[in-house]
Amino acid sequence: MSTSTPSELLQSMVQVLNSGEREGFDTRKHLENARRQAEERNYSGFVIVDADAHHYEGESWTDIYRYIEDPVLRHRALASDHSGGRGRPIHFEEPGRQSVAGRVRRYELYDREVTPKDVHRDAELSRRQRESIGLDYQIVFPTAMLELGMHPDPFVEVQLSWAYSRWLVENVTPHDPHMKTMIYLPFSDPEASLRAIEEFSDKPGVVGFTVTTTRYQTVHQNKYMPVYAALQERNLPLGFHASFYQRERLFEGMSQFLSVHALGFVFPTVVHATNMVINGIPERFPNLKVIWIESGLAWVPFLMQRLDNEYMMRTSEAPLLKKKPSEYLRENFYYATQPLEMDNMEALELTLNMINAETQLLFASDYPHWDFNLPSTIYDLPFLSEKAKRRILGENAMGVYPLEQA
Amino acid sequence: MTTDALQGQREWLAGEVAEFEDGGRKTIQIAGDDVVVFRFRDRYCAVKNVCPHMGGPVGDGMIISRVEAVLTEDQRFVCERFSEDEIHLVCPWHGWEFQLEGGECAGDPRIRLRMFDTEVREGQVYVIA
Repeated sequence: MSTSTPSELLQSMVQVLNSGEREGFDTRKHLENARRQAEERNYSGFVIVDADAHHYEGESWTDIYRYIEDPVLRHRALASDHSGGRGRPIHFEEPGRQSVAGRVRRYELYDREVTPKDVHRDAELSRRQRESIGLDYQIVFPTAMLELGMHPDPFVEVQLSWAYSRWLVENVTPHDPHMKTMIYLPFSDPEASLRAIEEFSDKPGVVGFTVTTTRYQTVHQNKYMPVYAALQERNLPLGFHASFYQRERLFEGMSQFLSVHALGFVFPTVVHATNMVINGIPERFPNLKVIWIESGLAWVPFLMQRLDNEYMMRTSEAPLLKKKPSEYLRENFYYATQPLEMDNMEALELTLNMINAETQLLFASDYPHWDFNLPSTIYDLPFLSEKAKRRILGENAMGVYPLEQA
Repeated sequence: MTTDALQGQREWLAGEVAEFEDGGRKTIQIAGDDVVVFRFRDRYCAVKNVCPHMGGPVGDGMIISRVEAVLTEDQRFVCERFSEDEIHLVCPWHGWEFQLEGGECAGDPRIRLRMFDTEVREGQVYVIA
């Protein structure tokens, strides 16, 4: 029989010896060292655009649900208020393990940040992040919504993404001209995707549209051609934003989040990029701006080599191509930097050369997620010229998105 | 406050012992850098508050036992457990872990935190740089 007291038992089970916790939480304090980096490197002297930041729309589900058009689904969603906080009846959520069991502190402390009442909290937090990190623009994506492409009911993807987009452009982005977004396309339904493009293209803060990569629809199906045409016609970029799906059968036996995250964010991106190239989408829509977001960069040299090798033996299977697959990957696509794999500088330099980074690479932070990057990840690279750094940190983005010089 | 000792060694007063309850932390400035000073069990630690990874405030991070894997003699996995003798300081920005004893990075021993010696005299805690 154990004689341990409850506190002794807890101490033996949880070996957190000191949490580092201080009173409250403030983004500006948390990012104080980032602000110093910005001052030391004089970021205010040139434009910096963050091609991928996030907010936590999960804090606003009840407000978002009110914009669901279907009355029955709206009622079902809002009924979650009666569940005592123990369920979100229309959702399909991954387990949250991003904080490395509390080691990355802001996940736990985020709720404690106090913001003024006269501006939407998400807009205020975006402003604090930009000012601390040294950003001129932040292109903001949702967090929980990134899993919606795997929802078993496509109707929920259509309804919830519509509600989220209306809520965002009517309540959040109008507060801040430097907080931008790429509107979520419910890609399981091409007609609904077209409707979203028509409705939201001109709304405040909208600089493009996004497709989440964790989904089984293949991007070269004929039903998507009107979507690509509509975006090309409007000169608005299409960002494929990566995420992961822990229940993916290939990952079922993996023991750790590290493993699933490392592969899960990349594999769907590799599949979609392969389908885009081999099926000649860049030939069919030569002015469509496609951006691959949050898969890092190490996958691109792998795919270039792999596809070129096979293409040379099987050109009959890719009749639309007029150049090698690697040339489409280098010339027709843009890439967001984060999470930048920088443990091997030689490999990173080669990667940046292979994707023609000076024109095709866009800085991205992914803040406030656990593996975020700062502009210094680019600015401090020893092999880049000052001109290349500035292009990657902001000038390339100014040409890709409809942004005005800040 | 800075005092110059006889051998040219420089020391910075961090505060009185009574200010450092177990777990409490205090940030002082040394040559323009933030240095976090804290007591852990029976000793005082001082670390430059800049993580060698991306510059995060590592001194504000969690202190936690290293997680280690237990294997059988024939290399079968048994379980994970917390180490009883290796303590880590974790950067709150990205979770990089460092040994509290010496500052060595858990993922790459070539990387270290900038740590300072400490000394207690007459009820005062000093950081030696």
